[in-house]
Amino acid sequence: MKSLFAAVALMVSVLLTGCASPPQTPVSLKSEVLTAKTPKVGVAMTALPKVDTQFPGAGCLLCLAAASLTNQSLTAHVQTLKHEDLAQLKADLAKVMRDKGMDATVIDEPLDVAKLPKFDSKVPNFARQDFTSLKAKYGVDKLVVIQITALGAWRNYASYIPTEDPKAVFMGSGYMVNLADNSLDWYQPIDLRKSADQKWDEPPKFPGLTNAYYQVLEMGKDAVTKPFIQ
Amino acid sequence: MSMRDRVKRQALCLAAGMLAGVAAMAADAGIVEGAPVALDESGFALKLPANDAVVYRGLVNYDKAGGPAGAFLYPVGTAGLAGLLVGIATHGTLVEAGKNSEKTRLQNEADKVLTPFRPVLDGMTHRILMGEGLQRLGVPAKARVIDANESADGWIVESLPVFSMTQDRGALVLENALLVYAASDPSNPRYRNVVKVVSNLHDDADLESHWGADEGKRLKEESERLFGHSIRLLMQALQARPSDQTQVEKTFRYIEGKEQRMERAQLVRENCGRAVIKTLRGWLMSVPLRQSAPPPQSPECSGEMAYPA
Repeated sequence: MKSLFAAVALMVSVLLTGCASPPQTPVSLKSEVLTAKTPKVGVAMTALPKVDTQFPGAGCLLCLAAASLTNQSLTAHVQTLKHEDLAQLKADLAKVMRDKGMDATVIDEPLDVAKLPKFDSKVPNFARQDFTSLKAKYGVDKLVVIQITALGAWRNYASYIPTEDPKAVFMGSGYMVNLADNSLDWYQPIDLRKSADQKWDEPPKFPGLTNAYYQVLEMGKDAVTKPFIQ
Repeated sequence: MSMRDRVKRQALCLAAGMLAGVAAMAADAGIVEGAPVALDESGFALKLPANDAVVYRGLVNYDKAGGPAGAFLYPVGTAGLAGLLVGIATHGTLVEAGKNSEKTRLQNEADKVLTPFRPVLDGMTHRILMGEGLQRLGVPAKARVIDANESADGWIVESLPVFSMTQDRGALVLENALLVYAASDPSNPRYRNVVKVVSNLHDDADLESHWGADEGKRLKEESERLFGHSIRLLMQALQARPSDQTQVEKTFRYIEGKEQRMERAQLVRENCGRAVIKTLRGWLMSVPLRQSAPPPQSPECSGEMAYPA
């Protein structure tokens, strides 16, 4: 009987994991990439997400409605927070790369990664979208992509009940694609969460959480540039 | 738990509660109303808190605190909507208790950084701290310490300092909740705010010995310096005239121990490798700035002036 349960559990886990592609694990930036003899590198960013709140775990419609209502004033405030100079991050990174002797150029237009064709590879450390067409478009050999997917404040829920105080978040990834074969020379997932110093529930301006938001913005910028500085 | 531990714990709870209360009151305070007050000229009485033990704790980080997200199934049974509501209320109570318990656990863990210094810290009283702090301030003739139940003329300053040590033991952080009022009109505060001071980096290879040597001489002296500096910042804030100019908010980077920290604030002044800033809560903060080079070693930035006016 026990072996039957084990077999069923194994089948279920194989079926479930087989359906989902594993998340891309971090790829360290190799020192040779930072040498002066590297080819031309473009630095692009995806469009910045709206600064907003999210309530993961408030899964049912009624739970989400209750969470939204409870955090109404927080959401209203978070939506007023600015990206500040985050859009300049690609220019800042390009400067860091040029200071290292790399031939880096900024791609002005926002990159829409979702519009690129899918790239299927059984080999790890290849981009999931096919970036190779951008080699001719931008005239670069490698492309650094800064992809920020979420900014603002998140608060975990277990259905109707918040399981934590809200935290400022900066989520996304930075990666470098070799446009010759779509392989990843660097991949850095970014998942930064910062709690308010002391209390957070200070409407209407939420100074503690606002401070945490601007802290996490700086930390996010550092997470992108730091590998190229070292 | 010994009687001393109980007293310490009560002092900690009292101080934390008072700090939170003053912080809440100070949320929109920090601006001097009416004519500026020159405490260094008029003199003032620094009133001791009711509890004489100074609170020291480990600096805690709550970034990882909190439970995961996920669905929760409520056992409704045959009770219908009422059962669901009872289930949600019970769940809420349990989660809230868990969150509080986790915060207490994190603080207790953080406090362990002070374990080697407990014998020294247990002897640190507000009377010693404030008396020595005022001496270091350089205006001893114009300022005096009075008991919690003692009355005095002129300006009264109430202070409740809480010290924290960073987990790398590289810095002490003071949060000093301050209240200033005229002795003749105690119900009408002239100034109310929290002044936070992050010490310069202590970069000794053996920080336990560094702080603990000579019966904790450095720990006591640095505490007194930070306290004196916080009173100096209070005096400067009281003398400042309201400005019509809107100060630009920016994110300041500074060092707290060996870690880099950030604070969204307005610049008040900057010298000797340190900045005084006004935070989004209106608190005054004095921080060592992030820089690759050490702070200037000119005479006006060394010794007692490591925390410049």
